[in-house]
Amino acid sequence: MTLPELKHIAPILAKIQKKGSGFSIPENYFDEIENAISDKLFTATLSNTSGHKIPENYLEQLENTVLSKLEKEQTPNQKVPKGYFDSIEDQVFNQLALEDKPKVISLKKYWIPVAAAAAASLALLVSIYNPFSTNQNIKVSEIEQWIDEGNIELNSYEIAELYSDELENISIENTINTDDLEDYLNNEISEESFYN
Amino acid sequence: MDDKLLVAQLQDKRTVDQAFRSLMTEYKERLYWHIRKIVLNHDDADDVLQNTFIKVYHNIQNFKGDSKLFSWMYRIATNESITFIKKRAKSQQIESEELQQQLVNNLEADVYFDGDEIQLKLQHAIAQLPQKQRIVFNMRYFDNMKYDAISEILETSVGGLKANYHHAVKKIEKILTQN
Repeated sequence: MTLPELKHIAPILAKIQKKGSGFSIPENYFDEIENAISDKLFTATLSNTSGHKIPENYLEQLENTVLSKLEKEQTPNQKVPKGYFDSIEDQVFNQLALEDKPKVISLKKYWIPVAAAAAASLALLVSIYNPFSTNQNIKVSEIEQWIDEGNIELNSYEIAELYSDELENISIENTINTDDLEDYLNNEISEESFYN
Repeated sequence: MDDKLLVAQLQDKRTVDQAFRSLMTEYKERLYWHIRKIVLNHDDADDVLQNTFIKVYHNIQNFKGDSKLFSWMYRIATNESITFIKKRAKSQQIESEELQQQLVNNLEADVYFDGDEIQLKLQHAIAQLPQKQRIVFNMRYFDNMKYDAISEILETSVGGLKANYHHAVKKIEKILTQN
């Protein structure tokens, strides 16, 4: 389309054609473009001839790999329960308060196994050192007298150690009421005797 | 310098660097303005121009001389410009047409756009054309290129180009008249 034709169908375009596009460029831009392109080519050539290769998509995935690694490093391996650090102060103070209270020795804790061991030992000794015929009925008073006369010199710990295997198989939970036993021990046995 | 001689020197490893510098000196301005009118922004045009020359350097061994060296380089520049627009639009998750509008809207604040009001209006009108019409219009209207040359570059028939240009002129004139 020649200019006269343009004038005919597009007079405004024909009028402003000489004005050009209106674009400009930085000063001396075209003086330096060859050097810029040569530098770019040189850099590209260097990277292509180093002989080193990288796995496919390595650079594309590098950011994700590094970020993932950083995230792992920042997350401790050991996890703590949810809200643990919110309540740790209270828990520590509760522990401290418990430690300040005087210790109470529970008789139930110590005397139940001792009493059980004593009872079991007694039964066993009776069967071992029985001076009477096994076919005869033994009166309780005779047994008490026999013990009082010092025929048994083993203490309860020695007995328990000696018959440890047998004692382990003895269940006292269903045969001895622990409350009754504790009452009995509290009422009938003085505390001093525990330590003598 | 004769195209055949220049191509021979470009394809010879002993003379390629010197010949390539001559090639850039010869075509840098024409290619720059061709690219600039597609991407509109100077920095983007600079990037595309450099990429175009680098592509020419790497592919010169494959140049068979079926078309003129000038046409071959223009084709590369055109493709690089279109690819640039598409990539930029994709990175912004918008269509190329929307990006074209953004680019032309940026012209008002562009220190490297000295156009007056009517020239700015003209750029807004050009941005509303389909891509091929836009490229044909720029080559014919601003660069006064002959249809034969445009035909060789864009690998389109002269008749098709004339139709494209005619439609573009009519549409732009209508837009300018309305405003």
